[in-house]
Amino acid sequence: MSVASPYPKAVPEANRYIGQRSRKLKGDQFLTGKTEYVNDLELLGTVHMSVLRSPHPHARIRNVDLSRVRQDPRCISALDGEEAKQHADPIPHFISAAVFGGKYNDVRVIATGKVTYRGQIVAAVVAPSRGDADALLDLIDVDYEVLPFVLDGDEALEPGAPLLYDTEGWEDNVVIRIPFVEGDFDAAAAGADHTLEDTFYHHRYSTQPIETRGYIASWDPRAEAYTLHFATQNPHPLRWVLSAALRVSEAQIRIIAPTIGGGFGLKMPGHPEEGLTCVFSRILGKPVKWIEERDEALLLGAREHFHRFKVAFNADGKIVGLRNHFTANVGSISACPGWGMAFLAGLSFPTGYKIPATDVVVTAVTTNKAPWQAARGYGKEGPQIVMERIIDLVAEATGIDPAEVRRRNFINKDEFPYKTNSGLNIDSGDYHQALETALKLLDYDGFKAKQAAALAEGRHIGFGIAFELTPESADIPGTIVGGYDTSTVKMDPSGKVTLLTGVTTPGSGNDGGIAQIVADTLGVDLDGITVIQGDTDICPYGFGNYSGRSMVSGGNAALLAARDIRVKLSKVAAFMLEAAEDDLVFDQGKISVAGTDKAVAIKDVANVIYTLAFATAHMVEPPLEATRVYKPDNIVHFPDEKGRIQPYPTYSNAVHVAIVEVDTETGKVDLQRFGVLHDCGNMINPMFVEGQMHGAAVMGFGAALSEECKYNADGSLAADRFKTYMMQRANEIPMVEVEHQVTPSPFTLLGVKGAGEAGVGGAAGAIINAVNDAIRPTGARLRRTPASPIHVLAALKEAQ
Amino acid sequence: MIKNRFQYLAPTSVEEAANLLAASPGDTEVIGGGTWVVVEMTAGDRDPRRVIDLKNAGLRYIREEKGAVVIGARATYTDVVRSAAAAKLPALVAMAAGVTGGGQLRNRATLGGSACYGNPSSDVPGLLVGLGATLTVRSAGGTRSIAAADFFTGPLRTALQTGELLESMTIPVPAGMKQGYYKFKLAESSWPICTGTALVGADGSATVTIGAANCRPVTVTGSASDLDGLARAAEAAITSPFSDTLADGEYRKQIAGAIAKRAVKAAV
Amino acid sequence: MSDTIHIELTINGAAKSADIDPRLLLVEAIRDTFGYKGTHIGCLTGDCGACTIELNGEIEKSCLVLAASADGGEIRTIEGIAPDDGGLHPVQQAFWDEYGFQCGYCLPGMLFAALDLIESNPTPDEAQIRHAISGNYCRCTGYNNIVTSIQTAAQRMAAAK
Repeated sequence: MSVASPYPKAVPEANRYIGQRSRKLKGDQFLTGKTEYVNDLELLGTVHMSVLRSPHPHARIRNVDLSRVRQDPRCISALDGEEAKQHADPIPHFISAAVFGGKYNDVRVIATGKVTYRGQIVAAVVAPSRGDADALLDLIDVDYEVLPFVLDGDEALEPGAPLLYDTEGWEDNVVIRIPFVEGDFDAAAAGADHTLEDTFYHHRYSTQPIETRGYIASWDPRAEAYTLHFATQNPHPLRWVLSAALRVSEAQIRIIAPTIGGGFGLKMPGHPEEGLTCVFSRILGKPVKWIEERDEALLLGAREHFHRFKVAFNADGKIVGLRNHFTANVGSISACPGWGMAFLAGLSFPTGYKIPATDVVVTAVTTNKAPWQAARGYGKEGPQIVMERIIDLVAEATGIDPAEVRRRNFINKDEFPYKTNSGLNIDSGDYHQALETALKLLDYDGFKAKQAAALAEGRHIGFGIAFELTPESADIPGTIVGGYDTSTVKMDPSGKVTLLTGVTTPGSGNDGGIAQIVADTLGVDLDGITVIQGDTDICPYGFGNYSGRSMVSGGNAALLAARDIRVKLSKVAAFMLEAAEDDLVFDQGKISVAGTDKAVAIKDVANVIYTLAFATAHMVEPPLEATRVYKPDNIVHFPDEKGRIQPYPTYSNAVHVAIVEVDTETGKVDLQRFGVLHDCGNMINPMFVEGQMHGAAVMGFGAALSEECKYNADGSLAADRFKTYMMQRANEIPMVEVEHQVTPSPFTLLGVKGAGEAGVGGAAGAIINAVNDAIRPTGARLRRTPASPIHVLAALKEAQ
Repeated sequence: MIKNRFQYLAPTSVEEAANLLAASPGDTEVIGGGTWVVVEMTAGDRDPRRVIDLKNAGLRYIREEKGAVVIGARATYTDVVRSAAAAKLPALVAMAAGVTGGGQLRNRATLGGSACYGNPSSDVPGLLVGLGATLTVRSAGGTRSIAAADFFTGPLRTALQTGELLESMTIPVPAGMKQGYYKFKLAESSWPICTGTALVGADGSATVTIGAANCRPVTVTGSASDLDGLARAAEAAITSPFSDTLADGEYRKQIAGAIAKRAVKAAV
Repeated sequence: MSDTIHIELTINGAAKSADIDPRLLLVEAIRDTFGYKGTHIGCLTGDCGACTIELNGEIEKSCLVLAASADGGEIRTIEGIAPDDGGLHPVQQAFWDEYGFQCGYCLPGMLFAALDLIESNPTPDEAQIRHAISGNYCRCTGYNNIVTSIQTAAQRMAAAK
């Protein structure tokens, strides 16, 4: 069901900026070191917090003894879990599994009763410096009753596995089990020419922006209000979370997000340290600062899936059925939105392919690993890797070219909007054309000969293809994840424009993109627009940054608000110029009458509206301010006849292609070339879109090749610094070669779709397929990520 | 911020450094570039009461002496790459130029520091053993020399005694032999997982030292014309394979033969 | 033992001195004692490069250096790259024009590595550029536009000579 749009569709006529490669706003400030990140702020009287983390993956806390630490003159304040309970209630879950029929457990700013992962906070101290606070942790004595623990998702599901939570409802470690079933898989399999079964392990990895999390909480005892300078992607939703946990009204909390040094999901709300800095600040009446260290950031993981799938297909390569029952090891329960990625991983199958019968069931299981936190792709990246493996396996089994198998199973361009088995309503696209363009990018047709020649020399090169469907700009019902957003546009009497919006930028430059829309709509220079984001007292209500939503929601809202201003300017200008409104052109800071040399400066019209409200500007209502919301079409939360909802307005897509060489003596994969055809509908700024794809693709390279949240057998995180959590460096990768295709969204005002998340899963999928293509002559098959030398060599040895 | 206080000392001679160290060796850290000790202090893994910084101790030199290259303990990898004296040792220069971490790291990190750290999974131990280096260590009582093969005694262990600090490393220029260095890493960010330092004589005789794979570097000999034989010997020599978070010993042993071959190829 | 240690430095041409806690890393002294916040902290293990400065003419990661150890040193930070006339250095200009950064957090490392490279090699190729910036992590750009920015900067600087 699609609701007719209440918004007139039109793009501004001038397009001086929309669609152009405008530079990042305030780039000179970043480049000269003037930009302020949270750690750069100096508030008078600031004291520093450090937290003590559990050394055990699973233990009962018998006693926390703070007497020694409190006797130390450096100690300003200290709390254990029971004491913190006096000051704070459980943190509301950002996306509660209970909303979807799953289980819930209280999460507090400091653990009480039990710890369920190594690294969970058991006490906290405040001291004059961070060094002193860190030193004080050595003086805290905690008595633990150590309990058996489980790290593996499958083991956690076995009867008799250690049970993480002994609260009501937790008879096992299953957080939630969600089926996405459509058609009769068994009948499809019985009627198909072939079936194949296999497994795929998608390992745990993480976001790791170069700036870690950081919070400075200030309680003003006179005003009885908090001012929170927090590196957060979602100021307004975080305010809701904290108001509930801290027992104050939302009006008593002002959150100001300074410039963010990368987010990628890490800086979404629900972290215990957010509330904990507030608790201390309220006790002390002073600003309390906490900056996350890298080993703390590395605790928070994402994506550990074990897929067991069965595919039914015919000799012509058409897939008729897919069964995939997979586990998602979500680690311990947290208030962060991480676990929800398991839900969306299930929902995203079978991506852009028409498969009549699907039986997909995801089981999210809790273990004694640290929690998941949101990570770019938000669960949608995993299915890309697995589906693309499946397509290649079908190609291998039928002897049909992998590109051709994709062509035979893609949704056709004339079938959009297309409703998938899980209920998603895919807006538009041309997957066949996207595939052809991507294949040309790396000369797919010429590759076979090169591969044969290389093999004759004993070299193993491979070509990998991965299609990627990226549902974007989510609205998740019953949660504080909104699909709409709000923007305010103001023009002051001197004609300068201030834009305030509820979306925030983690560094991507959406402030510039939204300003481009406003500049064109009003016919003013981009330089004259000031953008303000991330302040809950100043900006209109909004949900911040996630799910590739900035242009779809905030951008379109700004377009509507700017149009409201333009209507007023137009009326007054028409009066001033003695012309018809229809003849007016807004461009280059002027409103002119088409076909004449009559014109008036926009700043003069603005001035007239403020100063001659009862004369020249009598027909409009000052001031020149407008706030508008944009609710994109295509989101449907009334369940359909099968109980399915449709949480995404837009569906970007991409086809990734990779060429690798595998060193069969060591297992090392050399990524030689990488290309991607990306379609996110109309682009406000192609340079920004490409930048998103470059970064996401290289995250995908890391996912495919080197990044891994390894654990030790004792439950501690082995990859606890950048020397062991290995992200990709510039000198081991090629250029990301991007081409665009534009199939505008029929459901959003500017025809835009979400951009920003696409790339991680597609790039990883293409590389894994390329590795498998390269090692196929050896008989080896890689059934997991990452394709690190160790795993690739193990696969090669297994085949020997 | 480092959590506990310490006294910072910057002696102006190696003798003064040794005397300062002798005063309280148990709670003192010596830093060359500091790229490992400072990081461990920041992480709280080392907690000294005193730090002796060798920056002013006159140990930042690389010079030629009697057919050998002598490298002061405070010489950086960049110093090696730029040194005319070190150019006689192309394997050393290749190693130094290939150290991960960018120019910033090579401008500060020292060979001496890496030797003292003694991490098997690194470049320096295997290279020093492979080139037959001798290490000169100093204490308040004077100096003594230790062959590199005896210096690296195990994972993160060296022959340095309490109260001793490294003064210099002397590497003989192998006359009439070609040198090769090959390093294998899992990814650019990775520590070396297996290294090969090869010396190949005019008659084709080859000596290869495998670093990073075993708890101590191991050396095998053979012929450059029988690479497979060398490879088998190298793999067989890995009798106590080294494991860490990045790679277990089994993997290192599996690739040791291939790395030995590549080191020889780099030399010829 | 004395609680503080006296250090004297030059930062971006200005003489600075302070009695500092010996526990301070150079990056912490630059940021918190002397107020140059443009130098960033990303890992404190010497891996990410966000704390890069120039010390006595060589680029360094300032999280690997005790502040006390830099006594007497001449330091340049990201704030000291642009010319005094208020404009941008050609390398900075190219990073802006080519969208060579997104969140900006890695810029100290990227800019100093680029300056260091172009000084010794005015016409670097792609591989040389990638090698030169390999001590720095960037999580936003995938390095594509950083490479392009440095190519553009080198070309413009060569043309201006």
